[in-house]
Amino acid sequence: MARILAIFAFVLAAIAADQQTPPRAPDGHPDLQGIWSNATITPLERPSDLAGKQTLTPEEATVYEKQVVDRNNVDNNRKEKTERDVALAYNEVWYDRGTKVVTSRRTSLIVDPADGMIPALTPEAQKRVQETQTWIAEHATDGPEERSLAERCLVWRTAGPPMLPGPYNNNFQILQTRDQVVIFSEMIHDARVIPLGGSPHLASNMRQWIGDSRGHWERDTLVVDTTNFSGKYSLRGSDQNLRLTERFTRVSPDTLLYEFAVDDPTAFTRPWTVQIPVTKSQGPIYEYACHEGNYAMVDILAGARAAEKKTAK
Amino acid sequence: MLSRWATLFGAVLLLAPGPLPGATPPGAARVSAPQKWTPPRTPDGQPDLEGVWTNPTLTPLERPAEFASKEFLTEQEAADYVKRVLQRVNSDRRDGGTQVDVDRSYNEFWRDRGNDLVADRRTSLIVDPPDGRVPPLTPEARKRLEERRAWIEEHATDGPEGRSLGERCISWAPAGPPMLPGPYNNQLQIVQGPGYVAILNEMIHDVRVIPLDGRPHVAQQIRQMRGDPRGHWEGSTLVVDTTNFSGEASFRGSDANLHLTERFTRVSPEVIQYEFTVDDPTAFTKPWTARIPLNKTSERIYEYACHEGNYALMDILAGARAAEKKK
Repeated sequence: MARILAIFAFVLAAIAADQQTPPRAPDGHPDLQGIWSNATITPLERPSDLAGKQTLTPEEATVYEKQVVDRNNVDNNRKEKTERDVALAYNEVWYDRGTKVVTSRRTSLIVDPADGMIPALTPEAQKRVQETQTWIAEHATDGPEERSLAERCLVWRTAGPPMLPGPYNNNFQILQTRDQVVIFSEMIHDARVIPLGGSPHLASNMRQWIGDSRGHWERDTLVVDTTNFSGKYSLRGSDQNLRLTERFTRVSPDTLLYEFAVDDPTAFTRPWTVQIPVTKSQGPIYEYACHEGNYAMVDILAGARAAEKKTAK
Repeated sequence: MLSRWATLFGAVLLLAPGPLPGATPPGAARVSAPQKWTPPRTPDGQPDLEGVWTNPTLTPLERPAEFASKEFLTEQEAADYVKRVLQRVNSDRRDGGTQVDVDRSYNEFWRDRGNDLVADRRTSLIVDPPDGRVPPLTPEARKRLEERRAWIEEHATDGPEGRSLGERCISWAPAGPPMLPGPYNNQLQIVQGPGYVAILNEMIHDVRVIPLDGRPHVAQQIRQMRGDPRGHWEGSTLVVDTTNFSGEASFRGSDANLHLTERFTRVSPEVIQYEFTVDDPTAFTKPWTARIPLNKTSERIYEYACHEGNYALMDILAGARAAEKKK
């Protein structure tokens, strides 16, 4: 009995010690400040050939990493025809997608549901997404509105919220005070200034592209609730009813566990959750440019007009 | 620091060239009265500059010619001037004929340029040189600007590059750095974490995350539109040094050698005195300094949109193409 008690005491002490682990901000909360990178080759959804397999063994992870890195490397894949080669001009110089799977070696960033896949859309969301797709297929080059939000330099899916690994610009910087937290995303240089004081969300008629974020601490975890989305920016089918809950926990000096839950009852048949261990980055984050020197949009539309003229003749 | 500032301010007043006997601004008394106020501190001990601040004012950057050697206005002169300016800029006036009427469609609804001068009724935001004007450009800067102007005149509608950076949604002059009052979106938010200060500008939603740990600037060959800022505290004043400009976003003729020094001093619960010094020996014949009060506001900053629903750039270029065809 005494031994059990001793073990119990030891465990308690260990837990207490562990809670001291994260460096603390002046106000006593864990210090999340710094530049963090979420680059990883682990996909959001579990690849079909890994169905039923939640984690890779260290050996499997090594093989998988090599496969994916080789497959992604556009500079190694120049056996294609000329046109394809030109399409690969955006080459490895630009990419920063990481070379490793996440430290947990999970086969998907989605941890819930257990199959690692985004839950089915509701029938009305399916209809909406399909209608948008059909409309875009017919009108893709009518004007700028039909191009993707990223092509238009309005918002970028990976900059979030929620923040997801992308092909490049995978850094974000956290700045933290007692009353607010700033999350500055390298991609498209968006900054969220998130109040922590328990203030209510904006009135429900105020809708924003990246929603309205409010934060609070739950023990050592920073929790950020975002609502008031306009729905124009859709996360895999989400609409304006999206309620996003992000959780930031510093689990080691170099690792921030970033978790987010997507709850949107009019879009998804059930909520889903993603976990990304994010690693400390040296930085600095340099200036971001989207439109500068970027002729894609104008060229796409001009190309379409030229093609129309050719057809008309 | 505050008392030193107030003393300096007093000294400047005394030295001010030729103000009328009645021109001593009561604004000065207003600033120097609450001497005992000291700024609150953030949990890590920095003077607290946090909050949303706003800088609209009718005081122009440069002193208008009509006030040539007049540094401050009397209360009456200020009231007259404000009335005249508000009448001149009022875009809800419908007395200019059809074309002017159409030009005024971007009306007062959108504007937030303030309706008063800065509290001390100075005639320019520029406090140095004493004439309240941007110093003359160097000969080489003048040549560069003239060439640029000539180029733009010929190529203004060739393509997007001939248009302004603001029209292209790349950068906006009032968002800076340095930050100046503009026609609207005159708010900025300051957040101070340990070791960093973030300044979010409502205009074009640019944020600067400024390290305070004394690290050196990035290597000389790294050039950014908005430069590379480093901050430090001098007493209760936050000093932000910015170098490594690319020169593409030129400030009144500045180039890649611009060294910008911004100073933020909270002089009362409601006011940060914001001062910036432009030092660019290849562009200006001498450094110059401007001072702008930032006033605390309870308003919050909403999302900013530049390109969204904005057809100006495309329409301007399409219009130019149509005009060419007509010829």
